[in-house]
Amino acid sequence: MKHTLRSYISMAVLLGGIIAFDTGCKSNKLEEGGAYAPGLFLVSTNASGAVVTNFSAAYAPDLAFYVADGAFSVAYATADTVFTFERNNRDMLWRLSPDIKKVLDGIRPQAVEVRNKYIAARTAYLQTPTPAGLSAMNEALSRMNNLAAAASAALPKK
Amino acid sequence: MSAAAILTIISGIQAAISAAPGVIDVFNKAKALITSLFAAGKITKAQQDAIHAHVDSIAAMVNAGIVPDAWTVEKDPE
Repeated sequence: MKHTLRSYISMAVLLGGIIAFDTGCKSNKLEEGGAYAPGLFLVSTNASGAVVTNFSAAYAPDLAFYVADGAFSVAYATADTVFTFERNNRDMLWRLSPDIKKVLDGIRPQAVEVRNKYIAARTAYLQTPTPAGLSAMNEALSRMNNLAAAASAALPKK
Repeated sequence: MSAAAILTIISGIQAAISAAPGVIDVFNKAKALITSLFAAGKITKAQQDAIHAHVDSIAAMVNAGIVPDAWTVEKDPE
């Protein structure tokens, strides 16, 4: 069970890292009306008579934001699973090796700090979306991915 | 790594996964995200809203100054 949990979490963190930096996704992937593509889908006819559809500039779909939030959601849930697993099985894991808790205790405060940094960057981005703001989110996301990987590595092998 | 390879890996992980609820939840989140990005078709409103809601819930905790017990350093077992 422990080996399965560690293997799974390592893969989830790896995949989260791939997702966060995969910029090859098509920009029209987001269904209109979703949280990352909130509107306005303008349909008009141009001078040639062709029907043209565009999102209004103020509400353009934000796939990069979706990717960042999605990857953060996975990384956060991964770290939370590891921390919770250790806490729920603490006595047993302590008998196995005290180093497991010690390593995770070194990661826990860092994870809290990075969690707060991501949310602060996200809040700022929601108010004023800028490339620099997105970079700040992705920087915090990268750190969260690293911490989640380190936390999963602390779990014992089978 | 191709989308098919990633999805194959996910299927293998799923086959070996334990019954711990937290692990299944993380797996489902990762699978839903990867599928939404690599599968054909648009990322649905429901998929977008689910992720947004999850991160919003984390933001609500941060704004309320809440740190989950599992994320705090507690004393060692005796």
